[in-house]
Amino acid sequence: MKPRFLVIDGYLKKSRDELLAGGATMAGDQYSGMLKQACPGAECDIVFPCDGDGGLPAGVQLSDYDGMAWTGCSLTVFEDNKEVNAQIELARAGFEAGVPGFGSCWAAQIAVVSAGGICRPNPNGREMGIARKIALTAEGRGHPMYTGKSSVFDAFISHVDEITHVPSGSTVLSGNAFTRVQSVSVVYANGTFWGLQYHPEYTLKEMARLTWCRIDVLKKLGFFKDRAAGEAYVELLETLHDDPARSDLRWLLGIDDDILNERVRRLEVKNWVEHLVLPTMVQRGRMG
Amino acid sequence: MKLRLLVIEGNAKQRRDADYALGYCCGSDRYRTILKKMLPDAEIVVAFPADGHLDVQLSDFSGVIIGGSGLNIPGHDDCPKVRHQIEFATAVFESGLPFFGSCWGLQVAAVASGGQVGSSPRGREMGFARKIQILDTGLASPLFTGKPSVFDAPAIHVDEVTHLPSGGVVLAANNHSTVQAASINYLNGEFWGVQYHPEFDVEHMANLTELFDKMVLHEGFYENEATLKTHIRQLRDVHRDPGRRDLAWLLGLGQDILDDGMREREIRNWIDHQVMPHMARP
Repeated sequence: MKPRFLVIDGYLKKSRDELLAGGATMAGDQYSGMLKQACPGAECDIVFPCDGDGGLPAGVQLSDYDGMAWTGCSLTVFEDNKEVNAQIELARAGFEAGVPGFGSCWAAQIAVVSAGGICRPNPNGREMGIARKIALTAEGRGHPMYTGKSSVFDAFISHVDEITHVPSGSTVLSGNAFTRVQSVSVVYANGTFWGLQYHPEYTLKEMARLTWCRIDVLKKLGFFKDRAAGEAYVELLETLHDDPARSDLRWLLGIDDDILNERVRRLEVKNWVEHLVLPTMVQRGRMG
Repeated sequence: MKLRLLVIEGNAKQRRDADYALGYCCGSDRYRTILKKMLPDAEIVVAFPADGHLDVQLSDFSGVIIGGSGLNIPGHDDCPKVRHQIEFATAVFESGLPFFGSCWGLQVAAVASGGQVGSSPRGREMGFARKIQILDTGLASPLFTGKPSVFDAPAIHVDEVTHLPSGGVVLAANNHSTVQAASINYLNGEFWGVQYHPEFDVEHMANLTELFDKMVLHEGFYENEATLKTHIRQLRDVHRDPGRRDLAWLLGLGQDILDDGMREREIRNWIDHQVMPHMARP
């Protein structure tokens, strides 16, 4: 039996529309594409908890899923509002139901907060584009999510908040000079959630479109001298996306195979399926 | 006793003249500047074994540094410019003096002590060596006290250490080169060396890129001359204007490259943990 995944696209409709208009692919679609690549034949239902009617499909319960995969999101996890609270409730319900969790950025923060941990604004500000020199902790080196991954790597990133306190039962798996927690395993109630602060689902193209949508904000933050510099950067990323053999651009921008090679970049997803989703299916008697 | 350090310039006169003709300094000048900053009262003597046999009294010194060079050991070990330096390194090991090297310096010390150097199957590592990881051996070595456990560093080389001698220990590595740092015990001495250049700042790297413009264009680091010129200008802007963190971000240059104290930490550590204790010995 093939796994059935619930993909949770945490974005507000307004934010989704803005990104779509800028040429980006919707986060939920990026995620289900990545899951189907890691696990051919898998089924993915996408839900939008920020939308009024964002519940599960009719007649389906959380325990019908073999994994819950969470996209990034532009909300702030330590703000008290109904969109955030709905997602914290959903994450808790996932832990209670014992459904394996996985996700990027916002997802790691949601996992930690719903299990009793704390997130706050990163004192280093926004980490954007490429998270440099993420190093596995000793626990990370021995963790099944990182089987086959090198102990230091770069990854796509875009965030301003960070995990400051992990709840007991959680393990920090990696970090870098900018952000102390770049990945975490949260074990809580009946479930396990592997969360990444970075984005294996992005491609250079998606990173370029996201950057394009945020050029003016990034300019204010000092990433670009002016709009033209931002547009030139987006063009560099798209050029390299279209022709990954451009070793001159790889070298100039410091972009290696850990970013460009999809197999390397998405190893965590494949490992989640093989080492957490499939074994949990067996335990729950869902292999048919 | 006055602290006297000997810095070996690995390049011959012709190459040094090319540096000076463009208004740049050479590698030994970088070391002189950094050592004078770290040790204002020390006397720094520079010697040029690539120009001919060296006649220095090693017992006058408290430490020896061999810097970079455009020379290559593989296929050239009979060339006098190379042979003089390997013989000199052997004499330094014999003397038991604190001994440090970067790039060419590491390669010369490795060969002098019985190791081997070859050209890298990955070609030239140019500009900035990425994601150098300190190994468990390195975490235990005072060479890396205070250094982040993963860092980038200025680098320009095509050769690398392929085999360390029996007294050698690898201390750091990255995807390009398995020996980015090593210590070597041989004869009476202990050598600490790195494959990268803690002594180069971003401006010096911009200068080297300009000096070797035809070579790096030919090797495919740039699409054309215009992109090369833009990059050199960006590097100089990053160096001269700390406000241009937009460019530092674009080029992926962090504090490990931009902060002199962090970048030069291995030199500082060698002075603190090798030179100073040697001075204090009766």
